[in-house]
Order: sequence, then C-alpha cells, then structure tokens
Amino acid sequence: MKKSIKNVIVNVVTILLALSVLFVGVMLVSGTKGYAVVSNSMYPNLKKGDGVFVHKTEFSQLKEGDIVTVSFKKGGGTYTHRIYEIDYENKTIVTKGDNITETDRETAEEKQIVGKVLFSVPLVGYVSMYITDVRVVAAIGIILLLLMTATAVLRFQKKPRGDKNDE
Amino acid sequence: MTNKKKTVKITAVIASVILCVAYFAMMSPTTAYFYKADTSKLDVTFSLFDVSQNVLSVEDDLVFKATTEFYDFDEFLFDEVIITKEATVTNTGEAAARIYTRVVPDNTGLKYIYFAEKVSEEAEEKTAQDSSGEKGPIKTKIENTLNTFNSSFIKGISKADANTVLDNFNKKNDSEYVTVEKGESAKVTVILWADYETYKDTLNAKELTEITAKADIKIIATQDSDGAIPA
Repeated sequence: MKKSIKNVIVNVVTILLALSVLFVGVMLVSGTKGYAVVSNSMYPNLKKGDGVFVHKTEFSQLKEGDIVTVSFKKGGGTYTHRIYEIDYENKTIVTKGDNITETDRETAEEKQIVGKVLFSVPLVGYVSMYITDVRVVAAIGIILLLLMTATAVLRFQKKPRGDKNDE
Repeated sequence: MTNKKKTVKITAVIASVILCVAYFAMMSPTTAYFYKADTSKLDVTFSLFDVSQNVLSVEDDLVFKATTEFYDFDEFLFDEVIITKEATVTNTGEAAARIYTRVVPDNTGLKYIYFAEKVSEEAEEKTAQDSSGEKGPIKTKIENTLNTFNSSFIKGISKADANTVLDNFNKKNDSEYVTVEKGESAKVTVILWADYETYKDTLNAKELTEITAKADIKIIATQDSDGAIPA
C-alpha cells in the first residue's frame, strides 16, 4: 500500500516535470516570451503573480480588446494592457488596464509592441518575483542534487546483498 | 535498475527542475501597477505662514485616476498615482516655533503619510539624490522611512501588517514637530493615495471613472517653549 502511494507520487511528479519541460521547450522554440505580472492593473483578467506568454504578432493582426505587452518609451520595462483604440494607418495603439480608470498616457507605436498575450498561467510569475538572483537558482540545483544523492546512497545501503533487481 | 540508469535518471530530473525553475525565474516583470492617464501630482504651496496665525487648515477634494498599494515593493510607478501636497512654512515671528501636522482622511481607503522637514540646502541636495531611484524618490523614501521606523517593513510584508506599521508611524509622527527658528522655513509634504483593495470594486473595465476623496490637512504652529497643541 505504502509502495503504491509512493509510486503514484513519483509518477505524478514525473508527469508534471515532463509537461513542464515540454512547455518550456515549446515556448523557447516558438519564440514565445514569458513575463511575470507584478501588479493588479489588469485585475480581474490578469492577477499579480500570473505568468503571461507573449508572441510577436503582425500589427495588422491586432485588434481592439487584445491584451498586448508594450515596452515603455523611456527606460526599461514593459506593461501588459488591453488595446483600447487602434490606429492602423499610423500603426499606433492606445492601451488601458482593466483595473484603471483611464487610458494610458502614452500612445504606443508599433515598434514598442512586444507582442500579443496568448495565454496566462496563474502563480508561475511568483517564481521570478521571489527568485531574483541566478545564485538562488544555482543553490536550488545544488540542494536538489545533494538531496537526491543522499536518497540514492541511503537506498543503495538499504538493499540486501545479492539483490538481483539491482543488477 | 543499474547504477548507471539511476545516475542518468537523477541527472535528467535535476536538469529538468533547474531548466524549469531557471525559465520561470528569468521571466521579466510586466504590467506596471497602475499606469495612468496624466499627472495627478498637485503641488500646493500654502503661501508664507506666519506663526502668529497658528492653525492653517485645508480641506481639498482629491481626485485619483488610479489606485495603488504602498506595501508592494515591486510597484515602481507609485509616484505617478499619488497626490502630493506641499506646504512651505516660514517663521516670520521673533521667537522659535514648533510646527505640527495633522491629516484626517474622510475614509479608510484614503491612505497618507507626511514628512515635515526643515528647508536647507542639504535637504534639497538629498532630495535631488533620491530622485535617481528606479522606483521614484517618494516610494523609495516611504519604504526607507517605514523600514527605519519598524524593521519588519520589508519585501513580503502582509498588507495588514504594512498598514499597521503605517498607522503607527503616522501616530508617532503626529506627536513630533519641527522646530523652526526665526526666519527659517520648514516644508511639509503630505502624500496621499487611494488604496487598491478599498476601491477595486468601484473601478470598471469598460467605463472611465474617477475616485474622489477628501482629507483635512492642518498645519499647526506653537511656541517652542511649551509646544502646547491647539485644538
């Protein structure tokens, strides 16, 4: 019974991990960029902590109501808001956060548009909000490595001598 | 399972976990808190204030274009959505005076903090230096001030705890004063903002609306000798 529960857990974790790797692979290959939502300006449609996945889209394919990620004109950073008005002739858009009372101050030009939000995934944005240092990722890797090595060593030691399954 | 297979499996799992964690950890932040339509910063100078006129009271309608959260350390456009009221207080009398400040908002969704400082070249220079901060000099100053007041005011603090720190700071601030010598000036900066949690339901995705609130701001001058605060 105990072993079957353990097997179920291992299988679930393996499937989740495989799906995560597949997801990351597809995102990398397709050129889709992930962003962490750090505010509630698009609440309730996007919440703080969500991850949004953005793909470069031709300007002519954009329409009012689409959610787009736009680079600020000055300085770094991006914001992800809904297209409120679109001017196909001048290739500019006016955006607005769903949770903001007015449209954004700057009209965004085509070159500022990073892309259209394809979908969002709840909570994954918190990973980047809390892991802000490459050293933390490295530390997580080292801890995992140590834990798994320790587990493997313990399991190896517990095996009775001559266990054919281990051959 | 052979040791070789086990090693391959462990390596694959570790590599997968690191790949996934690294990918999600490296996602850039997006959606600035409340990117707003136009500047709502409103500088009001109360004109020269003679300490013989010992209470100056102003009640203003405040119109906010957006809400915000002061406790969110990731929020870098806070300075864009606040309303700032500045009062320059000059002691034109013959003796030193104490300057107190009081702010009474008309509802709990209207949050505030204020700073009363002597006007000096050093202070002006410091403000100019603070302006280089990424998230804006006012947000940076509020975070630093509250952290100095209570070291638990750090990234990750809950909203309720952050509001408690803010309330306690304001209470303490109410009992403090700036001593202004004859001919000297002090600057009182009141920073007000609309709280996101309170107002989020009034914001509408389809209609453009405004949030209005009121705050009674009093600047009180007393003699420096006893410092009794007038009612």
